Amino acid sequence: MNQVPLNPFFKKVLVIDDSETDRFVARRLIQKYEFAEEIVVQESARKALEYIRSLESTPEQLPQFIFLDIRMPEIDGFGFLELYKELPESLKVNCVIMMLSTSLDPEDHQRAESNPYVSKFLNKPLDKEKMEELKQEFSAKKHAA
Amino acid sequence: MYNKLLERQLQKYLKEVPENVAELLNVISASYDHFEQDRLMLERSIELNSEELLELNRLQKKSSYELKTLFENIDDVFFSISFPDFQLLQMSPACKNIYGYQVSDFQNNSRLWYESIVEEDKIIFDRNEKAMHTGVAFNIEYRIQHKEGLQRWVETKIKPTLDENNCLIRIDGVTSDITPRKRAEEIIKTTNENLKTSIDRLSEAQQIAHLGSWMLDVKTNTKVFSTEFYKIFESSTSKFAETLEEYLTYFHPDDRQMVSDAFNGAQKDHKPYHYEARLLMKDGSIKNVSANGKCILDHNGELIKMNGTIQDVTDQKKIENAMEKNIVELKKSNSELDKFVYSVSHDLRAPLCSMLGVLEIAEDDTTDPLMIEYLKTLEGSVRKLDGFIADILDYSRNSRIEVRNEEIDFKELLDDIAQNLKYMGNNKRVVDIKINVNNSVPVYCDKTRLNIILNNLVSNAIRYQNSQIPNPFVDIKIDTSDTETDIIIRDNGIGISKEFHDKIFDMFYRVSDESIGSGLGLYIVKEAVTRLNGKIEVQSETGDGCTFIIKIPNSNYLIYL
Repeated sequence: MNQVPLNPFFKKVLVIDDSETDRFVARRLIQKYEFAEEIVVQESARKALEYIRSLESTPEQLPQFIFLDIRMPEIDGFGFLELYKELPESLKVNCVIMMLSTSLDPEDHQRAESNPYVSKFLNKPLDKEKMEELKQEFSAKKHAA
Repeated sequence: MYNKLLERQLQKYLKEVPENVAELLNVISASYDHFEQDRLMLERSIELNSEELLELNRLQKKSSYELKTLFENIDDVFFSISFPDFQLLQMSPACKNIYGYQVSDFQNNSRLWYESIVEEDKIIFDRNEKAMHTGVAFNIEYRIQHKEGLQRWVETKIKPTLDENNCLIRIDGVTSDITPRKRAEEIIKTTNENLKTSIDRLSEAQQIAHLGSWMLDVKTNTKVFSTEFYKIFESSTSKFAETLEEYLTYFHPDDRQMVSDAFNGAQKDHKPYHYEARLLMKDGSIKNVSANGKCILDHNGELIKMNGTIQDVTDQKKIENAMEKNIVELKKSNSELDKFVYSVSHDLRAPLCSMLGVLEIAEDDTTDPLMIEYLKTLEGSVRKLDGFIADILDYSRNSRIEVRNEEIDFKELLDDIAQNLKYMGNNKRVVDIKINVNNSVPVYCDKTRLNIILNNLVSNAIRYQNSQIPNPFVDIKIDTSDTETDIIIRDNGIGISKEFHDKIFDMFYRVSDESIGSGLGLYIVKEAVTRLNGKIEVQSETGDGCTFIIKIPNSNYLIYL
């Protein structure tokens, strides 16, 4: 394809969140504001990593955008990032990670923002304004890609 | 006299009855001859005696002169006093040097010699009265008042003389000036006393500080330990640490190598050393000691002496350890509490945020005005609950977390706050947030607390806007100076009646039922300002907006104080 369609914005977005409601809200907002063509939701970091690994032979199906919750049972958002770091480079190219949390702990903000894979920290809930800001912010990047 | 002799000679001869005149004449002649012989002999003898007498007299005169010269020129004062009339019989001219008075002065006032004795020393004289009356010679030392006013120390040797009835009739004495000797003695005495005081004080100080000292003469291998040193080691003074090996046995086996290394190392490199070690006492108890030592070198840089101290720091160590343990525990519980608070606040807020997310989608997906109203009401309640949780988190952080100063960029701080509060108020009008920062002086302050203060005041201004007035605004003015930061937050909102001004900073105080906050916001603001050593005041009237004035001293200024 020579022309990059503006909508939907990303080909595939991965949502990693243990809260069913939040997964629902994210899915609904992404659909509504045409943020991605395809939405994959995973309820745990472990399952999300398994999913990414499963796409090793089909890299074209890798997500370009990840919404990552911080507080999750078993492996939390930061634990996910540790394991993500160990993945082969081919699985990580061209992927933006957004951390999403209701945490007001400044330490969480700091850790998120200092992680090289994380491009931004967002306070929950996701809403119309945040979706539009994200679209604006990444449109340049999207065009470049 | 000769005639009488002649007459007696004649009578002697006449008694033998001479027969005739011729014989009588012979007798007279013979007796005359005898007489003449006697006379000549007598004359001769008289002549001889007077020569001797003359010689004797000459000798006497000579020695008397010598005695007089001595009497007049010697430094000591010779004197004689008759008793019981106390009259001065003689005094040598040296009295001028010792007393400052001339001999004539003493002659004119026969009691002057006694009067010149320093009042409190007269008793020394009186005390020897008994000796005087028994004729025993004695020596006394006392002070006299020199004519010029200065006192002098003198020593007097006194020889009393008694008559045949054992009554004191005179005393003879020699008085010498011993002032220089006495002064020297006094200096030595004072020095000794000072030295003793110093030693006593040192010993006392060592006792109080549980600090012992030692000195080692490297050349002779003599060691000197202070009393407290022995006490710390609980050792007798007679037998203690003849060798380093023996000294080391007093220490905990694990510390011996270190102590030995410190001591031997200092002997090699001549540098001072310090170590903290444990003593293992006979009863098995442990003493913590802190030791310091240094080397003393001669001008060739050769080690001649070493000295040092050892201090029993067991009690301090116990306190230190207890404090350290407390601090660690406190830090742990503080950080645990911190994590707990964040965790709980997160767990409480997470479902609220989910609800807000769903509410927003629902509001977006419906066109039914009644349904939208229901959803907005729900959203308002959820936001209120969320705000309350955030307030409690702020309160908890402000009360526990230490003040951490960093350089503050007020522009950035306020822009972030304005950004976060942009969508606040929802169905109300957008409040114009005016930011006016004069950050010419770098300010070091606690960012978290400044954020709590500004965030609360700005959100109050948005929350309590006056719907009767167009163009709602909040004007934030920050002015920094070397000493303090002035923050003025002024709005044109509904205002607060004067009667509530002294209550609005109270915990859970809400001005009216229409107040939509938790009643914690201004309380937390006040607490945070207090933690920054600042002051806050409010100027407001109902319907006339609200102005909060905050003054916070600069922590960088405080450092220079």
